[in-house]
Amino acid sequence: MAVPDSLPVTFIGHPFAPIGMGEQLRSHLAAASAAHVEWGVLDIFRYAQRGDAAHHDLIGDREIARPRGGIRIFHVNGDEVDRVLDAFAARGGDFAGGYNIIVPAWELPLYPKQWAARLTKFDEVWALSAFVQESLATAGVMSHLVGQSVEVKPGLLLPRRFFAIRESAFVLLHFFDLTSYAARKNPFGVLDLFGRLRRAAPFLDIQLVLKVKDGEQDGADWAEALGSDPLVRVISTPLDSLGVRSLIAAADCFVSLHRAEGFGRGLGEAMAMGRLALGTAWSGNLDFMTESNALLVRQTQVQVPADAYPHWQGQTWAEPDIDHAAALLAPVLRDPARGRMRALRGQAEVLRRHGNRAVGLRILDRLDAIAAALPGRGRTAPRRRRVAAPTA
Amino acid sequence: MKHNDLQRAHRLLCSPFVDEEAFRAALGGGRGDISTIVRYLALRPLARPALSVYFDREFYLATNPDVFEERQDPLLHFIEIGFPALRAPHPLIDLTFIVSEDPAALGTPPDMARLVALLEQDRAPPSPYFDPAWYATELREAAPTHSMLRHFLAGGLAAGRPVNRWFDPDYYMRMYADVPKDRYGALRHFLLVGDAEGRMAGPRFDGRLYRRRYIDVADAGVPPLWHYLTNGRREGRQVPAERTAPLPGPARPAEVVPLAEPMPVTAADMERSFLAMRRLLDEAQQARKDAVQPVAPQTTLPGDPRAAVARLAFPPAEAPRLSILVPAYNEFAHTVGCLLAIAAATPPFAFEVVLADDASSDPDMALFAEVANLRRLRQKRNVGFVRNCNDALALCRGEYVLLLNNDAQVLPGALGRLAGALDEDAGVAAAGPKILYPNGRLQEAGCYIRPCGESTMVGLFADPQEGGFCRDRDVTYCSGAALMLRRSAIGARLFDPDFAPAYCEDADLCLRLIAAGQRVRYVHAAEVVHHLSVSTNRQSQAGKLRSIARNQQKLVDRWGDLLARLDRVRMIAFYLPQFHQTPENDLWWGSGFTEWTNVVKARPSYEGHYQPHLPADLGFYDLRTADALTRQATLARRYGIEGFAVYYYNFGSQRVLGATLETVRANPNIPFSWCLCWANENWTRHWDGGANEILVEQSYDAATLEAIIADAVAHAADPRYLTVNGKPIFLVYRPLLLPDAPGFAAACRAGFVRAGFPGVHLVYVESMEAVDRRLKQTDLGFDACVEFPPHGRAVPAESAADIIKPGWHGYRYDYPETVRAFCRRDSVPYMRYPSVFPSWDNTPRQPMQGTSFDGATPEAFRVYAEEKIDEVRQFLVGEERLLFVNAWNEWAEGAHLEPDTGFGHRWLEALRDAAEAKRWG
Repeated sequence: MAVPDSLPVTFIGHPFAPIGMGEQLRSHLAAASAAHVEWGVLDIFRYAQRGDAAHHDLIGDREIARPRGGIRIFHVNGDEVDRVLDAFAARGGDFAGGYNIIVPAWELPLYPKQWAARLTKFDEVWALSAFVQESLATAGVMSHLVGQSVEVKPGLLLPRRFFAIRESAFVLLHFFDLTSYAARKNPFGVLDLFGRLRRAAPFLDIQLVLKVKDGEQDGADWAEALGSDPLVRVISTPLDSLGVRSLIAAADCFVSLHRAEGFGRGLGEAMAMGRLALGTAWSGNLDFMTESNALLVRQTQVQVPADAYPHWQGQTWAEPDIDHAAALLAPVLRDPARGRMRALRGQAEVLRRHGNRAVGLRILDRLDAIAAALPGRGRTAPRRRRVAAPTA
Repeated sequence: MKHNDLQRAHRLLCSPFVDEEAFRAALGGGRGDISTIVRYLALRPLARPALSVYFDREFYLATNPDVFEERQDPLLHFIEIGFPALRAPHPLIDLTFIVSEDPAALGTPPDMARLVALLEQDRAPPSPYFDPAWYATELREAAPTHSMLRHFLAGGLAAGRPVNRWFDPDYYMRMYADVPKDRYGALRHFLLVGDAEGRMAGPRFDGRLYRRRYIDVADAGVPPLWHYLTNGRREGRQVPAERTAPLPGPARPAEVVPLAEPMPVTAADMERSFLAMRRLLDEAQQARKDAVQPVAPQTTLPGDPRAAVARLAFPPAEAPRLSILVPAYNEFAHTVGCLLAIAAATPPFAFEVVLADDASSDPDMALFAEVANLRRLRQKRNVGFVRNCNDALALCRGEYVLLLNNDAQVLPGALGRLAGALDEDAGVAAAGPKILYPNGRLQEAGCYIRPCGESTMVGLFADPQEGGFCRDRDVTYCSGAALMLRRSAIGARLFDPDFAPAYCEDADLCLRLIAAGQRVRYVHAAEVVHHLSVSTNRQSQAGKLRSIARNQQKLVDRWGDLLARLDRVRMIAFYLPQFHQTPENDLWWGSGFTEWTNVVKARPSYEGHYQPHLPADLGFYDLRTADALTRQATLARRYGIEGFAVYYYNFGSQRVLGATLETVRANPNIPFSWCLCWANENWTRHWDGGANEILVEQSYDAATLEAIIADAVAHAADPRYLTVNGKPIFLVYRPLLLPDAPGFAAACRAGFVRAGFPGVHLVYVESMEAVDRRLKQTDLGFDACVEFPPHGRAVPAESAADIIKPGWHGYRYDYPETVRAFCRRDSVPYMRYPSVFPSWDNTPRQPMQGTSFDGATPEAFRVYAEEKIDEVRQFLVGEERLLFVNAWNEWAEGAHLEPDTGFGHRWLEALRDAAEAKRWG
């Protein structure tokens, strides 16, 4: 059974935004293409700048100006559902006149109940990771695990010199976002780890590269505070897709001592590019990181401190064991070839399970199942298959 | 008037050299009319009309005094006597030049019609001074469709069109008082007199300066511009000219050039360089495909397939060696064509044909029931390709089974040759033919599968006669459109039903065979035409693509690790050990001499020339130390380089520069992998391996050769030594200098076998004299050869250089164009390892006469490496998948991956990025 052409597939969200929600949507576009699914994309708010050449390469002329029927896949978060649906209606969209899927992101083990209620407006929910799926389930939301692609299109890469990174060094790379709640990404844990490594081997040729998401004052402050240390390089200027993929390729090891990740895209992309990944052994990144293909850092579950994250009440997250992280890295620093062997395994496994085609086929499977369930194969409105209501 | 004279004149004037229109205009009648001939002859020879734009009477008389003295008709003389003797009819038509460029250009004996065709159709430059292709480009839209020289002579020159980039008639007239004051006269004067005298052709070419810069040109006494156009340009020689921009004072002293500064890195520059190189190579590839002139093979589809079926019969076979399994779903006419071709092929052994009809709806398909000795399976319902083939396998009785699509036609001899490949080698479980399109283009010469599960048909749309496709070789897989299998190797089940209804089942089968230690072989002399049914329905096309994607995913789920292993390309870099003191060099060059001595002295020769290259991370190392070797090897590994091809020197009485490998061998912990490359050439004062001013001479006596083989065997015993299929790799740098190459090869093989190795993998370097000789390594007794860029394909830089070093007279080449030249060369019918070079510049060794490549960037190098990796994938398999790099550390030749201050690790990063870009897709 195949998706009929009479049932167009539209991805809706923030296709040009340099944020996680944009990345997950674009990853689904690339995945759908790899499975030969025809799609259109609707930029629901049109806020984002459109300066990134890679986005245009991906989307081409497949952006549509107005909502249409068929299957709609919304890459939006629970908290923006109402605004998105208002905008959808304002753009002339008939929400009830199609089959609606939502792909929400979330980073903690319990999905917020007030958002779950909004998800019930949709016919179906797709989960970006097993972790998100379980989190949704705690709020009574049934979802299909589709995941997201971490495949990075090969192309030009800017060299280390472009970023003024030490060419000789073993480079640890960490991404974080100061505009979000910094505690979750845990950059302080990474600094702590780096400090330990240096104390253990003061003349080891290593460098820490911190890519700070936002070029705002906080980022500049960070850069200034660390600026005196030649072995820590803070990059706070915004980077486009070329810049980001080049930076990942420039690293030897991508480090994330996160307390929680919905999926852990940075880790996944680094692995897809053949780079070693070191990450907390908890949450979304466990979809693709294993003991044998990456470095997984032991953790203990702790209560999320008050106001450390939205909807923190009653949630737990990980406290990674920094000593363990240092111990995992020590043999790799002694013999980087060992890290490269592990990374090679990681690359193969990630691309096979979380590459464009693998994810695209999971999307295709869902679309086929939806199409198969339609009476009259798409000529009439799809049968509603409501998402379960949240448990009280 | 004698009758004979009239006849002769008539015959000669009927030559295609004579312009019919000009003749009619001048004589008022055609050449067939004898009275016009009479009229022509009645005129005084020098008053006779001009009858061809390609003939200059005065020029001919001036260059042929015999004609002048004998008062002959110059035109008739040319047609009768001058042309066969290759005398020039015109200053811009140099027959000797034409023939020297292409000995077959005019035929033997010279054929006037071919000369006229060459001129009228712009088949080749008629003179070094005039290139019709350049002229056409220069004129753009104003260019005629053909006959560029005619256009130029008939009005172009008068209208100020240039004859070439260098000669400017107006300038030439102004400069020299003795020059005729008309453009044609000036041109003729320059070609006859001025160039030979070294006069200035124009503001951009000064013959005197050219001679002063290139003493060999002056010594040879040849006209400077003529030399530049015929040779100098190709050699990258520089045109000395007035500076385009006025400079303050004399040439800038080299000392002001800042040393050890990093090259600037801007994203825009890098992107531009990357894309420009990519575009150049894409265009080159397209041009190659466009240039193919396919010859359609002799196949016929029956005009009346029903009638053809009625006549069709196969011989009875009690015990067939071969079963031909033809799965079919409709396509009646194609099926008939397929069976007719089999019937016509008559292989030299008993065979049977099994037609597996997958419940075709076409009633005509029932007609096959009547074909004598055709075994037929008729499915009750459509079960799809995979199940249909699996079911039909049960009917096959042969030792070999040929899967053959019903839209394919075997060509004569194909069946016997495929079976021959299986007969010959019990390790081969499957053999695939060369598959052609009906129009004669190549469809597939075997396939390779990328780690992502997608496959590439080798040679798609190419010329099937190209060398690389005319060599039998192991492959990852061959399409199931025509694939002969050893029945005993495939087990009970042909295709895995997981792949039903179709797609990738053939790849899965071949991978299953390879995983079991069997091999799949491409057999070039077996040819099959495949009509490839075209699906027109868009919906079904999308459905087909999705089915393919699903099955590719299955392929990767099942064989992912095997695919990654099969696709791996190992990179080996040439390595120079001359970075430590030796008694020989101390004596010849002064105590303390190493390569560094020259490297640090280099200075830029012209504006933008990157010199000196100074080492960064590894410093001015001494290659006798284990520490330096460890750091080199670790760095190479870090960027994915497998090992080094280390130059080895043995001059009989002495081994030179051996200390490096002695250190490596004494320290088993250094992660340094290597193979030897015997640099069998003389050491000279000029670093050129030539015969002048020899410092130490390469000897080839029996004792020397024996010692060399013994050394190679000893090195190969080290577990770090590089091998191909268990055989140690041994390279010879200049194979043609070996007095008896096959003898040496045989001795080498014997030496390795005696030492307990399964053999030796002998490779020669395509250096210097070995380039483009179309040598087959088997003629030399070798197994393979390796490209050695930039030798043999360098393309000169034509841009003007702003020379800084007073008196510099070196050579400049264009890196991207040279890369293109290396990427567009034809493949060869033997094993040739591709190589890449990051940059090249021997200014350290030849400060005033250096050769350098402009436009070399890490980004262009990366694209180059990707292209060559794809070449490796196409033509080499398994452990043969080697890519060489020239070089790891040729610092004095500017060819080094090792970090320098200007580029740092960028060359290494580029090479790694190229390999990684191919790691999945």
